[in-house]
Amino acid sequence: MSQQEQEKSDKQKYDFRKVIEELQEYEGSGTQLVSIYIPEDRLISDVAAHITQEHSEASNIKSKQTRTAVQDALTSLKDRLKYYDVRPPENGMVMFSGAINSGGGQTDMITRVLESPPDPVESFRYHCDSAFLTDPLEHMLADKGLFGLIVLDRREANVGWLKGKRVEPVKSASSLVPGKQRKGGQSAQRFARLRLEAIDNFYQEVAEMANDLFVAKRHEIDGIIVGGPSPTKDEFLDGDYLHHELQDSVLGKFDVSYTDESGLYDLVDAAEDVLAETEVMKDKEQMNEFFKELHDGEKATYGFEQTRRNLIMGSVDRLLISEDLRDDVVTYECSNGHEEREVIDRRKNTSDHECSECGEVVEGDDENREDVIEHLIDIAEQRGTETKFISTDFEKGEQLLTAFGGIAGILRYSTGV
Amino acid sequence: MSDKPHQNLAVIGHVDHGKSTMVGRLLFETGSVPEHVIEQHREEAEEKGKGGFEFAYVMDNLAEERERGVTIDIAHQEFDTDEYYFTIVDCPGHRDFVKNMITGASQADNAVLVVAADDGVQPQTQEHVFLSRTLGINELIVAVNKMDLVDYQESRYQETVEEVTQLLKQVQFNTDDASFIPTSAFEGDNVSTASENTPWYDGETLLEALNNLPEPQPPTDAPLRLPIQDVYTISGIGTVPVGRIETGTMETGDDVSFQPSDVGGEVKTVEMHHEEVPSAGPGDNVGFNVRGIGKDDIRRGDVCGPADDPPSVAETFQARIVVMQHPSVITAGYTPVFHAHTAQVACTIESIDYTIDPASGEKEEENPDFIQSGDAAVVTVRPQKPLSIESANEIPELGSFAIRDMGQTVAAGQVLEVHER
Ligand SMILES: Nc1nc2c(ncn2[C@@H]2O[C@H](COP(=O)(O)OP(=O)(O)OP(=O)(O)O)[C@@H](O)[C@H]2O)c(=O)[nH]1
Ligand SMILES: [Mg+2]
Repeated sequence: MSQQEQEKSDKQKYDFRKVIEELQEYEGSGTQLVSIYIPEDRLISDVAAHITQEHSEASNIKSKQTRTAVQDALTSLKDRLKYYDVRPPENGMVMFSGAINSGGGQTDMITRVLESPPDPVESFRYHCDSAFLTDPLEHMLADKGLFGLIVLDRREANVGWLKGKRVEPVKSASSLVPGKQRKGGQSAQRFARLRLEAIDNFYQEVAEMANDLFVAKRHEIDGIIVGGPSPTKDEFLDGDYLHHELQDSVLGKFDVSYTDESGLYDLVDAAEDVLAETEVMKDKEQMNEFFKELHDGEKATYGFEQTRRNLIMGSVDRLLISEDLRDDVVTYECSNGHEEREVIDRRKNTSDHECSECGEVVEGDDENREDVIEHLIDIAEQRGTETKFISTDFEKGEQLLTAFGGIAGILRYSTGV
Repeated sequence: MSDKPHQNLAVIGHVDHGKSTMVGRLLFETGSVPEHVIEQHREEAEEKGKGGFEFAYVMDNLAEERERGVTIDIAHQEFDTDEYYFTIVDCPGHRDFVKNMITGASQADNAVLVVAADDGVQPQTQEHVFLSRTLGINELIVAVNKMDLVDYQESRYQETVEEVTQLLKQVQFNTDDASFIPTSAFEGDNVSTASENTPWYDGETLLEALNNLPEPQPPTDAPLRLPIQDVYTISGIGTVPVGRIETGTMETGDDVSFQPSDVGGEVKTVEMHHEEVPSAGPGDNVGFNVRGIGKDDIRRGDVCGPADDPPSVAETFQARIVVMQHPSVITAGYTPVFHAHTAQVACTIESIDYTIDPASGEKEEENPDFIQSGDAAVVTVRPQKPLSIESANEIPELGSFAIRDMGQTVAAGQVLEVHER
């Protein structure tokens, strides 16, 4: 994928996610919310025919309210289909329509169409329920990649997953392998032998734990990564403890000092090279660069105001935005012509603003309120700045959201802003 | 047992600089290990292609250690001199096993830092010195080792001394509390007898320096706190937690509690130096047995204390930290591994409350976005798993910690206040 396409798909994913989140909040009072998934090879005329048929079948619905609602939804969808010629766009499309509860016994009619999802729509699906069907879309947006993780030393072991960008610790075991302190009276040979037995038992236990977790998924797994302090992981792998089909999926072994849950996270970092092509590493690289610039460079900026100013100056090379950022920005202009902005939580109402230059209170106006991400991306696009969406599923991604307001930039040159 | 004062000594330093060899040599020269045992080790070492490791084998008794010639876990050895009864902890120097070194050093009063003259200050020399300062090591005896490999040249010795002195200053270790000795652990120079190979040196031998260590200070007047280092199952006795008593005393018949595992019972036996004793006090390494406690009930990192004044378990705690070396920056949400006494737990820095001027200790900036190398700050920390820790004002012995991430020690600190669960 070219850089531009990648960027487009990031932005598109964001748009999709936004619509999905909106749809998830909606509810119909009856079975009246219609979702239609259309594969790219389906003729539009077929879909229209299907809708017409559903429309006439809907006349059998007992509740008048639901009947009207369903028929209205279908009419609305059929109208939308007129925009398309013979077939839907690449990868197909997904349509939603229905009368949603808008509080106080009122309903609102909404219709949303998502074209060209990230993955092809696999099969035609007509779904009518009290909620919209968004699962298949969510599935497409979920991060790809499934890796099995094992960390172990002689004391303990942990196994888990790397799913997309998220590390999921699943199981742990601690061993009965004696430490170095030999108890009085025991001969060195006997101690050594008991210890070897205990180590062997422990490796078997770890392998069982891993087999239980990974074997069932062995056809989906992209690989298994093993870590631990020097000698253990080698012994474990060389000893053929793992199920033979899993042995073949082992992508590599890496030195990590910790073998508790935190070792699983360290392992993903250590395995950078074998994971290079995965999505988590792409996000990590961006964040590592940003953190490094904060530490010993001058080419980093963060927070809405600073980043925006840098964007306008055209000094931002890459705009980093947290995938979980859900804020709006409101622009206020006082009568003296001072323009100022406030970032607010999307769920909050627009408030008034006191101009920091002249103290005038400016009334908040929803007209001047927009999604903070769109606001920034608009500027970025004009200035030729790339935008990267960063997941919060890994530590530095989480830090982008919690410590830096979800907005940061890597600069082309130092600006002092 | 001996009625001499007890001295807990850690031997620290970079991998392969000769720590285990030094301990083996010391035990050999003080008569704790007979010649024929060394001879036996020599044969085994040569068989394994590890000639030269015969003294190290005294401490490195695990098969995997002997095969690779690397210390993996800490080992304790007891020996006595004219002045002291020593418990000596040989720490691993390999970077992957710093976590074990921390456990060892957290139990020591003083330390011998081994630095190979032909290699100088290396990453774990640095890390161990920083850790020993934060873990409450009072004095450092610096053995400038492998002098035989640099032809016993005084200039090479002085260079190493200079390098180490710089390092000590860098981590604010009082250089008056450090002494330097040119040694060869392998050849035995200046270990227990002054060497003819270093006529330019007229200071103490290592053994003299050990004898001249100040007596460990009596600990604070705090209740029993005994961090568990390991839990053994011994046939005939049952579950035996072992560790060093940091504060207070333990007597048979005491009602004790283990935190955060939150189990307890009556102390049936207390054993020290392989002998049963009626009671043990601060600095003593003990193994003990508690009625009704099984192997799976408690774990390394638990702290044992009186049932009526149990160790604190932190939901969160506020602490002062100093960032030693961090490749990037520390922000809220950062979750590295914290090492406190024998515990090792991932903790999230929930907020950076304010920074402090490292020199004056005064408050600088409230809620900074991030801190980095050289900064000192007060932070609020949330352990991701239950952690027993104490305020350093109340029990300093259990109030400090080191922070590790990406295979290095990035910061260290003291607990100001514990918010209990
Ligand atoms: N020539 C010479 N070799 C030494 C001396 N001290 C240790 N060695 C050698 O250095 C190697 C490592 O010695 P160890 O005692 O295992 O080193 P260590 O510091 O305990 O290493 P770790 O525990 O793995 O960190 C062995 O081959 C020793 O024989 C010395 O004074 N002179
Ligand atoms: Mg060693």
